[in-house]
Amino acid sequence: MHWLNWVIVVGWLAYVVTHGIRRSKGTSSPDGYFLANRSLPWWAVGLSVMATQLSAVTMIGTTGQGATDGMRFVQFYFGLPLAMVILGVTIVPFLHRAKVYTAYEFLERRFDAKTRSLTAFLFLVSRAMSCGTIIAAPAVVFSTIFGWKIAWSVALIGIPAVTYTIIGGVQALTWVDVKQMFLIVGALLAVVITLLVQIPVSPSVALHTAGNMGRLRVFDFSFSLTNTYTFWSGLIGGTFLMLSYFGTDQSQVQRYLAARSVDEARNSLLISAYWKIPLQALVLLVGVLVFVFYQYHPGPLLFNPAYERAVQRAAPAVYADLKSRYDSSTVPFEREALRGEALALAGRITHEPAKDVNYIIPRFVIDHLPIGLAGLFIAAVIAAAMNAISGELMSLSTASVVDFYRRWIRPAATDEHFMLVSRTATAFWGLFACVVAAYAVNLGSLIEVVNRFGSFFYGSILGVFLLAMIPRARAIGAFVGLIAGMLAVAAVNFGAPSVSFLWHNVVGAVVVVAIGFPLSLLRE
Amino acid sequence: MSGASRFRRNLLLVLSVQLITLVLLWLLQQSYTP
Repeated sequence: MHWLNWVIVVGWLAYVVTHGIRRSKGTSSPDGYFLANRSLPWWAVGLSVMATQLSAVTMIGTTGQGATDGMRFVQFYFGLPLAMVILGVTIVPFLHRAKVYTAYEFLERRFDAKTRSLTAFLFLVSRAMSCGTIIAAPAVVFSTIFGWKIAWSVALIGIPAVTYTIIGGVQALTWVDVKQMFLIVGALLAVVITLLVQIPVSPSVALHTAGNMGRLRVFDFSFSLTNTYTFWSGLIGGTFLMLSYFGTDQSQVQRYLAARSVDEARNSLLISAYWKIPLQALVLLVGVLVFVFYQYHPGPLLFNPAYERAVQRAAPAVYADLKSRYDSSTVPFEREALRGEALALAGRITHEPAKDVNYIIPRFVIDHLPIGLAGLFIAAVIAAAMNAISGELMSLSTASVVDFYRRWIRPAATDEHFMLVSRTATAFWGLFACVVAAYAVNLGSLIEVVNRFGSFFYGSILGVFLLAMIPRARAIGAFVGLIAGMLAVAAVNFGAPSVSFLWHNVVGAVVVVAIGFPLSLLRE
Repeated sequence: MSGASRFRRNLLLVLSVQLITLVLLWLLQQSYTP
């Protein structure tokens, strides 16, 4: 990549770290560090909430999915606006008025300490591993494309994010998120405009090309419990998923707890409700246009350079034949079939399920974007990763300190002591995430297991919060309901009966309430 | 503008933006998918 692009990347990283440190005034108490003294305006909280969900995986994986699978993934978010409106009148006022640091702290006030500790523990286990994958996904891609050691890629993303998070807490990361959201959206729009200029046909013909290959098929109105991307699973399953994520996940809850008032907290969530679907559509559209671009320009047969090298080395004649047929073909269906053949060959040679969806956009950016814009896009990918990782680190640190250290080990101490422990906890989780990311290639299946385990209890924790809003619900009902909910999700997860993961949250939440509420009545 | 009235205004806007987005996506699909 041209040196000017690297100047842009390094310049941006230096700017955000400095900006984060400058914004860390007033964060020398736990209230300031964890909740920004409840002083943040709704629009900053709202943009920060959006930024946390928009990780590097969105920038390179979801755009890639747009190129290979089209726009239908956007259905996944159809439940989000509804979930935001529901949360605005239910969980948000409960949590904000309770003046808690974590969502789980509220559960002790409403139920008991063991329900709080179990939910906080489940959160820590799942988030600790997902933190690693947030950094690992772009780090692996950068390493492969630029030929770096993976540790350097991890350091490039991890060190700036961990630095401003340790120093400035929620306040610093929120203001950094705001700046980075503008960078990310600006970079996506710039790429769309560049693609429209570089594709040698009119936008209408380009869209017809995409449409003919099914890339503009958005809606699937079939009702299927096993298909993740349908209108109904997005609307119903997606609503429950978003309720769980925004209503009970500390990485999201912590943001709106930092808002100035309940109304500002509610309004902050509505920013996601407005813009999440259009933003995801824009992200997918980038991928669709890149797909169209490669119908008119020569492109790699395999976008992952590691696969390309492996196939060229192991089966040079077969690769050369596939490549010449691919380059000479002008029929999109035929080109797609040849790419499928090449991927299958790469899978047989590398003994792994060969997918190169995460490499499509980075390769396009490096090979075809003009100088400056490529640097801007790479900076936006790193920015997205930093936004996600800083939010996760902050929530891990808060839950560790508030729900465990201060609850069980040292209930009373000075602010200075808690600040030292909090910053140490943030540093620890930052280091942990970087180490997991650096070894992600070897830990692949372990991370998958932990992430899968995490999906067992998302909906179940939502069920506990729903129970908390029912006046007659009791602690025993919440605790037993939570266990029952997780077991039910584990059962459907292992195929008895088999349903798509978007429905797991519905199952978990419903089982917790269905078991927990009657049990509460019995124990009255 | 008070917080509550801003919330009501935002709620209305959310539903409008959602509807407009879905209609646009539907038109995109219908216009270009054979």
